[in-house]
Amino acid sequence: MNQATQAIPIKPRDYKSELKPVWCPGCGDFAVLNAITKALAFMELPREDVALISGIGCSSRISAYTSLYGFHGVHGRALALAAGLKAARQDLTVLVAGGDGDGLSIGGNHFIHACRRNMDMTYIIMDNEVYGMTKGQASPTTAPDWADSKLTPHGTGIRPFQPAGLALTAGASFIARGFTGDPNGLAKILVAAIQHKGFSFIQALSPCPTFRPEQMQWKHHVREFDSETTSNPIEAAQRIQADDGMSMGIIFQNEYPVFRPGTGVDAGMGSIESEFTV
Amino acid sequence: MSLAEKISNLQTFLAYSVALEEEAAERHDDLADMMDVHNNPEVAETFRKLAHYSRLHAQEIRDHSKGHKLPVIAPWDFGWENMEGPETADISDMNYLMSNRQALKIAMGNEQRAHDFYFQISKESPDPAVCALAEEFSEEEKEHLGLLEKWLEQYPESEEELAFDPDPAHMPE
Amino acid sequence: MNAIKSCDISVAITGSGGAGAITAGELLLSLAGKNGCFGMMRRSFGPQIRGGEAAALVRISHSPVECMNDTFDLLLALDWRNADRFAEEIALRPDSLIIADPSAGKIPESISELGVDIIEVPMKDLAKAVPAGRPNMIALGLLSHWLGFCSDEAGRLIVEVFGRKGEEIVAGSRAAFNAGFTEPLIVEARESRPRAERGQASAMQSRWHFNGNQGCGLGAIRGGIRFAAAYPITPASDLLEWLSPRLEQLGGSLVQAEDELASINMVIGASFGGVPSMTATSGPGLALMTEAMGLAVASETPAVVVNVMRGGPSTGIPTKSEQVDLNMALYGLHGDAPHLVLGALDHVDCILTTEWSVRLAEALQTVAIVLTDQNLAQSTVLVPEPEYHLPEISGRSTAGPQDDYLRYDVTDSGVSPMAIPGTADSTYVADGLEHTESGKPSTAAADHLAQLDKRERKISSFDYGDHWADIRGEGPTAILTWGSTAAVVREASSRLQAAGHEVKVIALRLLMPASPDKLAQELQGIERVLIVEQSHSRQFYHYLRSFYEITAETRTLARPGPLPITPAEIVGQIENWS
Repeated sequence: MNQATQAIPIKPRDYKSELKPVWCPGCGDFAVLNAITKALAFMELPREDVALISGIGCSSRISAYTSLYGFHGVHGRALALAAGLKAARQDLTVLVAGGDGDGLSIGGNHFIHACRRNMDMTYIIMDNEVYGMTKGQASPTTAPDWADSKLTPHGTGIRPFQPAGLALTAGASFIARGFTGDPNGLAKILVAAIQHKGFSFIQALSPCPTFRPEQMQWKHHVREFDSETTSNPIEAAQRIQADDGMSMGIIFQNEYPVFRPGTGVDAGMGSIESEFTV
Repeated sequence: MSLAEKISNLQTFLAYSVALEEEAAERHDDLADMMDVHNNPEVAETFRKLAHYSRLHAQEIRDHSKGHKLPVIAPWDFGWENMEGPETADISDMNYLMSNRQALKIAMGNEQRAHDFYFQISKESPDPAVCALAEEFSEEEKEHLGLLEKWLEQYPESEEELAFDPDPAHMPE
Repeated sequence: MNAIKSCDISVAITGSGGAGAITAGELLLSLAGKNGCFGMMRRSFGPQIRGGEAAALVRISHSPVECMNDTFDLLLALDWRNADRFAEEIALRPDSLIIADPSAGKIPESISELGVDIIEVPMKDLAKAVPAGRPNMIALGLLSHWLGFCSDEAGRLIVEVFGRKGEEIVAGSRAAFNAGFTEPLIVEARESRPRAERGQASAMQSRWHFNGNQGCGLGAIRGGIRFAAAYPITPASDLLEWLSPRLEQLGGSLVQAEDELASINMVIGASFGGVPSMTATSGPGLALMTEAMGLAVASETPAVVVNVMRGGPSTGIPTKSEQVDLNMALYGLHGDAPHLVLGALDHVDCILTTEWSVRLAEALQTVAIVLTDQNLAQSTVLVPEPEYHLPEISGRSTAGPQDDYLRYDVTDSGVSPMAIPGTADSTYVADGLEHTESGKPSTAAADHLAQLDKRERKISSFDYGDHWADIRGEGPTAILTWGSTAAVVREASSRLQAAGHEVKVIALRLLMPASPDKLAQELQGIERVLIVEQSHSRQFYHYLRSFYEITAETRTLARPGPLPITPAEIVGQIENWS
């Protein structure tokens, strides 16, 4: 794995751009940027061979803070952009990032299809259970009784998604949960996710100090899953359902067929020019 | 295996020590950037200084390591007690309205943890050379703590209470 | 030299890192209201969610105003961090006044080289001398004194705004305000310069204090909206947030949707059920909604979509204003899909136009797109209490129980009574597919033509009355505009009138359907026409060229955002015509 071909070792900071992040101090997204750069440095991936695609929201600003190829697309459609890119350029390492609102609300449909399609890419959702960029509305992962949003002043009254469970049922072949308070652990998961052949999904719990200050207590409640990664979807389903959403680790990993459209081989024009000839 | 048992030879100990300071330096720089972007220049300046000191310490340790080939350890293989290096400031403790006093108290907490780390190694490592060096480093961390305490004296206790921002949050996009 | 009367003052307050510039600006406007003034406030920000650079831009006047002035008379800077961010928006003159804190460092050269008047007040130190005092409240006191306000109401306002933060903060804020209000430096400065006097408006009429988004919300409720679907988007989220508890209060509801596709379809579903429904969005969201809006047109289901325009294209400049969604509103639906497009002309017009749009959408069973913009939506005004009269429009035409009900009956007016679910015997299936009069899907040429004619006729043959445009003044020159530039044009035209140029201002409120005959009549005798809009590609100009005949000599003043068009620019165009 670690074949050092460069004379000068690439440091994580080399994967960052010169733009200083605008995230609020205390935001968990800093650690995700941290973890991504650490993982890429560890894997010694050339910057030009990696693309980071994002949507709209605080989390989605991450692409501008890296010196990789990137696309800051429209709200909720990052996975679609990424699918097109990966279909056309299977040689690239494709990373996708965004928030829980971007990914599971407007992006929900693209999410389940990305899981099912199982293209070789890695998707990380920075889950803070709120729409941060638009000033604090409930998201699909917000608890039903959170009543601090003016749009839903009594709380949504709707049970939230469990992203890992959604991914599993939709057919994702690598499912993990991480916590931004442990950027090194997150980096380790990212390396495994990127190395996994297929759609890798990471739910990173990422507290929002501005709109969900109570989430700063998460660090006292998270823990590691006490079981090893499983390749059995039934076991994975039970683990996810039995968990309160605060257990970290690679929950599920299996080798499902990876979608790779086309052969990539040009067999020449052949009879194309002549087939309409009378 | 405890952390101290893991650090069983001088090269490994030096690798841990360099990583400890470098991670702290990078984190302080990130925090300085955060404060810059959020228009808290006094605290940004404080974190810049702290980054500078961490980098100096890292260089000292690297100088100390001349002649040794240090093992390359993946960031997640260190096995730190608190998920990150003991001297690395916790991002979740940050607030754009924080005062210098608060920033320095956080830094002092980090120095204390670094000291405790080295102290534990000095007592528990199986390698006597490691114990000796670890003791030296733990004494140095004590000195750093002293310097920070003096620095703290410049900022009165009335700054302890977190300032408040009357303006509401803004929607940038 | 600007012809600004001393009782019309524009003040900018800037600060960063939690300094509270916006709060100070809001309180200043509120205090102006309590002191009998009219006014307007806009906000500008850096990209941070909190702690960023912020500017409160306030205009205070003795007579109603609806746009910002060309330049600022006073800039109070709590600090100078990232001062160049707002340089374009806060235009200063050599005779402008700067109030700055000496401890904030040197005044940026770009400002000092203008030759401005500078008053140094150590706001930070003054605040420190007051327990729980803050520089922004000192600043508020300074400005209130400068503007000649009575300070009685300040205490009450401070309690309103800061009450929740506790007694210490309230007391500290009041004390800091008073310290600023009585600060000798400002008292002395005021003595030697022209100043504003306390307004007389409160003795004459009652005023309202609200922003465009709230106005649209109120208009919607007045029009009868009782269901809304919502997906957050800048700058429309506040409108939806304002509606949420109020709809509930009225027995209706608001549902947060998973995206704009869901929002618009929810609206159509609720409307099919008989409840007047709406959503609000901005350019990117409107683009997503175009398919379903076509469904509303084809199925003849009433729906209202308020589109708060922002800088485009794509993600664009979300926090700034532009008039660039006109094309999409007019032409964005696929197929031949006649529908309604209206644009609010000012803050009060946000109420009027939205109410009118709801009534029209219900009566004509179609989709009404109401265009406002960030400029109106997120700026707050102090204006005379709104009073307007809309023509009588009957509500949704509903069908009673009947056999052989023809949902899409080809009537003279084009409007067919709509059976509301729950009505016996008159069940039907609404459809986006082309259909017969009874609603059965059909590919027949005769049915398609009949339904197309019907859907077109109901819109084009309706009598919209006088509200198609807002027309003021008379003269050989006409200025044609739409949306929030109307207010700027009106201000420009009063200046022109004072200088002897007679100008007729025609601001279109109803954009689709077009009213070519009515405009032709208004343009009779007009020699020169200036078309004003905030669009790089001149969307409004091309719309006019498509649907109207303008024979007079025509020029355009078309500028993109993010900076607002100023009255001076328009005056310049007219004065320098030849």
